[in-house]
Amino acid sequence: MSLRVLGRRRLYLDDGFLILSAIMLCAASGVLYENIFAIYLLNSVGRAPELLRTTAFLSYAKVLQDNHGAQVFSVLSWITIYGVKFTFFAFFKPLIQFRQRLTVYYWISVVFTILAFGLSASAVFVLVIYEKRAFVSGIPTSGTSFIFTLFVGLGDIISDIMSMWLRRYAYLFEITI
Amino acid sequence: MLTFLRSRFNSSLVVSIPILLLRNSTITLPTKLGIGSFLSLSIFMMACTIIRIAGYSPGRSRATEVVWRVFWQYTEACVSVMMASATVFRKLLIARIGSQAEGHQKGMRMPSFVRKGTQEHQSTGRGVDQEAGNKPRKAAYIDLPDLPPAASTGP
Repeated sequence: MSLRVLGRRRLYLDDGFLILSAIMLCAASGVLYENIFAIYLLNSVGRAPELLRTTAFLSYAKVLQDNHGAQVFSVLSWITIYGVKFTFFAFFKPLIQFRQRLTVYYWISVVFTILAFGLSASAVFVLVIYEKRAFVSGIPTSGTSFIFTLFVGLGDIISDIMSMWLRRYAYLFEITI
Repeated sequence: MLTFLRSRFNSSLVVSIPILLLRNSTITLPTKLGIGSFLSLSIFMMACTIIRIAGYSPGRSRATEVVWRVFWQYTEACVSVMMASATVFRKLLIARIGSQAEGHQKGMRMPSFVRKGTQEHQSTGRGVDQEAGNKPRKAAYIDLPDLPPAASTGP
């Protein structure tokens, strides 16, 4: 960040996205540090639902039901990941402004990334519903949560590929100029 | 599963095409490796996503692998921030390439009379060497006479 500020003498939009991502990553690290025990407990309940009937888990039942650490962490980390993608979009916008076809591709990528981010953020809350239901009933989650995770992952990968195409084009463009 | 693997294969093909373009570019090998390593971080991000989905498969234990998901999501977030920060070092590489290209362009813009003089100098040297019975030498640079230093003259 210091190299960016010293090199360009001011902060641009991509610097703002990068700062946001770094702050969100620090916050996600703090949330993960505070809630790692509850996350491991939730994972163990997911693997072995019969643990809920043991007396050792009764004292943690309230903790697990009231804990939202995994969800908060997911939202923060998705903001971090997509903030970096928007950093690249903001950084490469001046490079493509005189190329008509690439501009169309750029805006398609931006819209798709916004939709993928909305899907990722909303899927976190859908997964919360399924995981809480599984926790309360003691029945493992069905394939619905997996389908949500699959769609979120596919959106993430496709938006990665789109931004990567823009980046590589800009690299080659700068080198050959 | 087959459809998923096919989509991954298509994605890998799409990713590999710009790598082939970078391989055929006229930059030096260390610069290629540097830019290629920066670009490979996004491939690592995609690999993190695929691993995260693969560990969440309901066919194995039908369980919500929270720890697996959290670990790979955190890894992906860290790598993405590193990748965005690495673009600053990319500017250093581009600056070095620019200076190399500038030097090359200066060589290309040599005036015609200088190029002609260089050819005459080379041919003359070759002729002298051949007369002396030596092996022909290649002129390494233009050997121009030194200019006399400036001298102040009084009244």
